Amino acid sequence: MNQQTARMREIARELLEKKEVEMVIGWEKGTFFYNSTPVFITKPEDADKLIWDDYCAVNFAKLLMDYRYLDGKVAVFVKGCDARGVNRLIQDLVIKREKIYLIGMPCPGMKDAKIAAKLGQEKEAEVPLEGKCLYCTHPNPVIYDVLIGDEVPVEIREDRFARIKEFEEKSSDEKAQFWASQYDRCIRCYACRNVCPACNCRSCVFDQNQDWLERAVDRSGNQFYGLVRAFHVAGRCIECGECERACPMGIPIMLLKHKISKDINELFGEYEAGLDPEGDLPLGMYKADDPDEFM
Amino acid sequence: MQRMLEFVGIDPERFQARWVSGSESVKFATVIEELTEQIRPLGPNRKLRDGE
Repeated sequence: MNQQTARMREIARELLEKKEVEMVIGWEKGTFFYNSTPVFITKPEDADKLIWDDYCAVNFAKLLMDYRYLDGKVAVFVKGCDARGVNRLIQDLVIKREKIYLIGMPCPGMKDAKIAAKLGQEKEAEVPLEGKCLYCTHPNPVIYDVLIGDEVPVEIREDRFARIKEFEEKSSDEKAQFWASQYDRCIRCYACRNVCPACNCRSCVFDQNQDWLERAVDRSGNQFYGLVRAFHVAGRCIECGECERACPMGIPIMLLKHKISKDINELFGEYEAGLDPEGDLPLGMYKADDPDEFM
Repeated sequence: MQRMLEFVGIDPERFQARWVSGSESVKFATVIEELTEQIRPLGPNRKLRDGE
């Protein structure tokens, strides 16, 4: 058992014993070595289920939405990306800061569970990082009540906009062909929407009872779904990469999200969502000198 | 929007955003006529459609 795990259990047990929080959300070991799944702890004696390992990629921010009406507080473990997700929900007025207790986990980057599943445990050392961790700009939580361990040095492994620039060079036919072939695989399971901390609307245009877009799984419907969702989270996307990680069909959804972030940076000035729960959103406010080009 | 459409392979000439007030009927008609004439040579759009 590593140091962080011991400290996690200790903090969780104490919070529950003192009844400071009603529930602790953390990771527990799943069925396989590459599964670290969410666990919801309400009794102090269950705190020993908690773990911290190379596969704690799941972002808990969205799960808080289910527990926002509890009487007491909810404690949740947050990595850098998760903390920005929590900021997203606070800024969107979905949850109140005083209803949650945040335990910060500086994150060295998580491993890719899908590849780990293929390679098997013997070759675990060869498992690469999650795609989302390669582009991570904030491994340390930007908001927390208590931090476990020391902050990790920020190491940008890959420039998230470099691949966008590369893609922009392609001809329009190549681009259309690429996206058509990617979204032809989409099964419209909406996992990307369900896992997204920015997709926190009470009612969603893609729901069954809405008539904005047909539900049929076909080339045009799938691509419009992807594009509409990308625009709905524009300027609010915290780039946690959960949509792409959750996608069972391996569609490179973050390409669309990074493209929008890049455009916002170019048109509205440098902006990273979810760093500060106060502040103005570039697309959430009006200025007389807003560039027309974004339309 | 135009940048995004370009990114998914749509010709940017197919999309324009213009400000037209509800009372500017003549301007509205002119804008639409212009746009139609610009798009005509491009032919029907085959992208973002179902496979044929």
